[in-house]
Amino acid sequence: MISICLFQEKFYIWNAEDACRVREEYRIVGSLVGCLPRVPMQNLQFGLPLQLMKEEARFLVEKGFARVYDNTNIPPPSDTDKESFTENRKRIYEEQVEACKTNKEEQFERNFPRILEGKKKKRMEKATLMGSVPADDSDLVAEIEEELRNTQLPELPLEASSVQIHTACFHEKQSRMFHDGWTISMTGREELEYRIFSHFWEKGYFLTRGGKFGGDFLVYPGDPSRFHSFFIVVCLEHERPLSAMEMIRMGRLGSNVKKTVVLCSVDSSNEVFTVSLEWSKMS
Amino acid sequence: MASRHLSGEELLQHIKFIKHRPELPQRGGFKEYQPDGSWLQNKRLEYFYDERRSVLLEERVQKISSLAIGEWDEKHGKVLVKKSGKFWKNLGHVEDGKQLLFPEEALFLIDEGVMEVYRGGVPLSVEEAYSVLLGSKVPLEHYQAFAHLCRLGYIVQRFEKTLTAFERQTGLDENSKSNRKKSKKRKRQTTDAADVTSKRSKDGSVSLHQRGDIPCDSDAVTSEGRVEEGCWSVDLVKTADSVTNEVQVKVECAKDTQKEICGEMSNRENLKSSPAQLLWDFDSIEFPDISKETASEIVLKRPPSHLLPPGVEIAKPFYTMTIVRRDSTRKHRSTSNAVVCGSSARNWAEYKKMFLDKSEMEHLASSPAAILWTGEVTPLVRPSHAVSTGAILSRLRAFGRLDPIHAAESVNCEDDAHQSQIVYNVYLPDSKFRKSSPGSPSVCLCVDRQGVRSPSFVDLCRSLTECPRDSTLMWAVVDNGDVAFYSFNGVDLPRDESFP
Repeated sequence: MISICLFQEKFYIWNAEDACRVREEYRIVGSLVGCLPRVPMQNLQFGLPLQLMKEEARFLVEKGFARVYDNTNIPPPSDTDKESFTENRKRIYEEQVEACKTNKEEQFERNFPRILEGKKKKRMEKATLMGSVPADDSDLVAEIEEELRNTQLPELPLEASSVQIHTACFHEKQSRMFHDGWTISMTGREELEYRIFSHFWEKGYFLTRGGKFGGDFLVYPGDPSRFHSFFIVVCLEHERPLSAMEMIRMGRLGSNVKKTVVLCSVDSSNEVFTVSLEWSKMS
Repeated sequence: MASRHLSGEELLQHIKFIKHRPELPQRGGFKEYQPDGSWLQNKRLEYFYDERRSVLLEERVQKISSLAIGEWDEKHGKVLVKKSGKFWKNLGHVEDGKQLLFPEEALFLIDEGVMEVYRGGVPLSVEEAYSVLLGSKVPLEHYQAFAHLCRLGYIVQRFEKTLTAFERQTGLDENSKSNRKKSKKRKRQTTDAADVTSKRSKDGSVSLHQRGDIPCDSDAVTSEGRVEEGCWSVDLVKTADSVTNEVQVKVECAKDTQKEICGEMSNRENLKSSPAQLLWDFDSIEFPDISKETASEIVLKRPPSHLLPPGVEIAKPFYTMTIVRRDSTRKHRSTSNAVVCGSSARNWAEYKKMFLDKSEMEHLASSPAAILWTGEVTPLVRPSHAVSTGAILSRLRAFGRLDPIHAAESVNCEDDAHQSQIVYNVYLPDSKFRKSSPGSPSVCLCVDRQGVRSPSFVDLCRSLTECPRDSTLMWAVVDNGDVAFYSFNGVDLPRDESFP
């Protein structure tokens, strides 16, 4: 079951695996809103959390794929949390020290012949300067070897070790308040948008928000990263009169971006009604 | 679900990986038209999904030496900085000698991976930080707009309404800005307020001895502890009583400096906010009242010696002076000017205008078209206006240039709840940026959710009055995490070139 976090009336997925599953298995796109850990200071690609539309979250809950938990009030850490945190920090520091040590030892072994040569040369030079050249240099070699083996390799100081800033909540014992089903209220407008969202989803499309194109949703035939959207969906109340200006505005916009504008509403018999606008020439 | 815990080895590997400046994951490359079930398409999609998964699984890793540390203060709703970092140049403020960060600033630093904020002895994860730091006080949209701009390198600070409509209208905001910018030299101040006061008083007495050029380049610290630049003269005025005696004694030797003090004082609006102890206590200085209609004599008392220039002494304790009044009822010799003189002209310009008007009306009255000029409704354009096309057009102009302040004031506040508030001041990325004197922001930003009614004309005017003259007013509209920026720019409609 995917866990969806609710905070300030917005829905987030904090777990990376869930964020991937929700797109690959359930055709829910959402949008990433956090800094990307590897390159934080740019706005082309984002990282976790994945923010979901209200329609997307409700859809996942009603289909039984996910459940919502409230993140409005997080209690302060308990004593067990503090203990496990300190232990964890200690553990990762020790692991890093070990790993560093093994690394250094490996490096030392690899470069040992070179180091030996270098030291021998230096000693010989010093000896010739002083005037006493030893006859047998095997003793010298043994001496240097002994010296090198006994030198301690420097340990990794705490300051140079690294720590992790966790993305999702890491307290193991944290009890989450899961909602039972969908309990968040929606306005009439939101209900309408939800109906239309489900309608297009059932047909096998991917949907995202359409604010940038002057509509409510953008409808893609496949994953948004691989395909361009076909439709700009505008949700309207069935009885709402539509002026000519509005139709022209939408029609123009659609034809300029090579997408079809689809006007959707829910009629009196609770059926979803869709109609598309097409720019046609009379010549 | 709990987050991943990286082992020591993984941490070291990650640090090495980051050192080699990893690339951004590909955004999908060129796009296909529609799915055709082909193997190649599926392969590409699979590759995209795999890359996405591995990128999302990466965690934020930082060396302890370059990690800043903060602590969440629940009571004040701010983060106390325990160990600072490079960010301090552009973010954060000082209060009571402590370095503090606003919630959105701290959250951004956690998100960026350069700071750890502790709460109850345990550092907050990013998920917890969203809930704990933002809470219910800072809306998510505000944070998203803030983070978007910070990632691009802009310097974003919270907006504080300091400009009144009057200041904006008369351009006083520009004046104060230029005053601040004049003092370029900054002395290093400690954050401890007490230390600074004593330093200030020392400065006050020292600089007085320097006669001649009085440099306007010392700093004054206001009661909140924020370092503010200003003229040294204001320093003197605001220092404690213990210094005033010292000051008064020395005032006698420097007559010119005193005049300058008073001159500077009148220019500074900041004095409004501080209870300045004036050098001249006007309550105790007596001025003779020469306005009394009936009095023919007034008594001038000798002023106290500390107000007199050096070396001047007044012999008698008081003097009497007779007043000669002009008889306002006496009639002047009548000329055509006299008729205009009797009417209400407040200054020479008005008088001149009225006089010209009068002479023109007389001329028109004697012309063949005199009938036009009698009665209540008269033509808009007079023969004298026929100087250029532009002059005639300006008389016929139905509307003038918009003055947003007047527009805002003329409409009553009906719908205050929907008014967009300016949330942030945005400054361009600048290595010379100083938090203490940021100057005018290049953009004043309002943040709204998608779906909220767009600002009406009146809202726009009201927001413009709060915005300094040389800043652009912009709206950041957040649509499910996607931020777009909009602004309304004034446009000058073309006018007749001949109009001066």
